[in-house]
Amino acid sequence: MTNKQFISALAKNSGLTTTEAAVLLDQFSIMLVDSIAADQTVNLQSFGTFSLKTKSEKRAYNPTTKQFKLIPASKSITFRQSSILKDKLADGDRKEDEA
Amino acid sequence: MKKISTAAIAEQLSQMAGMNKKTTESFIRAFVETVLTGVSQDGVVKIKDFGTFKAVNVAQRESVNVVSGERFTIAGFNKLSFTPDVTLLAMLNSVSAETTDTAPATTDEEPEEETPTAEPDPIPTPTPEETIVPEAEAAPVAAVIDESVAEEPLTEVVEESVEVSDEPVAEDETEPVAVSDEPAEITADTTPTAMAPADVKSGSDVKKWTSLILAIIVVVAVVAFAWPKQTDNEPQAQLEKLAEIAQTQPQPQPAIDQADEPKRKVHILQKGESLTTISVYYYNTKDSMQAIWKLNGFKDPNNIPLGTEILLP
Repeated sequence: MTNKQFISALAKNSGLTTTEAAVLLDQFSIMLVDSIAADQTVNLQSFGTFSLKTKSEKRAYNPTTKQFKLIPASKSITFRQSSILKDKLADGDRKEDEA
Repeated sequence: MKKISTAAIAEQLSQMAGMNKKTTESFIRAFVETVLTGVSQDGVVKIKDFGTFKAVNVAQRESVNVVSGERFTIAGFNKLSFTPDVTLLAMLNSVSAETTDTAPATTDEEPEEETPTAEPDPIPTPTPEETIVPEAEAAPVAAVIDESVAEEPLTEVVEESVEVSDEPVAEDETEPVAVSDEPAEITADTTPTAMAPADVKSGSDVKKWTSLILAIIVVVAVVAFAWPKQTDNEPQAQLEKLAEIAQTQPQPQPAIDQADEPKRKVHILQKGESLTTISVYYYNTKDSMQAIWKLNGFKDPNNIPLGTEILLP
């Protein structure tokens, strides 16, 4: 599913216009980043949690130039699905198998 | 670690977007629904500037019960994976950099206090004493040459500082005083006894004196840099005057040079140490490791022989 398809489907499901849905999606990503940067986990019920992952500084070797390069420490976002979603996905698979 | 629930997200979103809380709640529900339907249909949902949700099948695998030693299989399952977009990560890292900006600033200042001769570069507003440091670095050039020639910067100061004091404010009365006292002021920078008369004066005088001293220091710095060019053009008469002044005043400059010469701290590498541990030990941060690495010019920072003298920035 592409971004365009996603936004139109999102607008349809939420009863909003596509522009409103796009604006809310932008705001949602900003809010997600802000709260994760503040070391908070964002929990979407029956879906999963977004949390912060810190990556420490590491050294990388470039085989062509034969030089070491320091990759600075950074932060990333991880997603962990909820057990409800896991069951849902398993159910979906079972239904597909039965069909 | 604090957890934010769906209701809190809806409330925060409604405040940010200026929308009804009901609308934002339905938006979040729709978001979850749409991602799930998209993943079940295509297997992948790509959201611009946000990330990609992907359905991943984790295959069944065998494992061993540690207690009984029995082998059993862990059933395969489907997993929803999320890869954050580059834009989202850039936003996250820029936000966290802004919040942690103050912390490294304090750690940077600590090593400067530890070292006897702090480098003036990282300090944004140097005090008068600190501004002497670059002069002293430039001064050895003058110290090497003959005594009579080495005196030149002093007289140059006398001449040029008159011009400087003319420019800023109309202080006609102070000008002659400034000219007559300037040689004494220059020595005052090095000898504490010479500083005493200046300190006795009243508050307004002290301000004037400090501004004068600052002006003199600036002029001395300028002269120290521009001196080699000027010596060629100077007339003989000036040189004679300089020689006279050199005889009357004992030369304090070599003392400054010895005191203010930059001394780098050296660390001898012991077993089990790395540049990172040295950086953490001296500066309380791993970030200085790169600076140490560059300063010493090691090819491979993980392969340094024991007992190597490591210069500290």
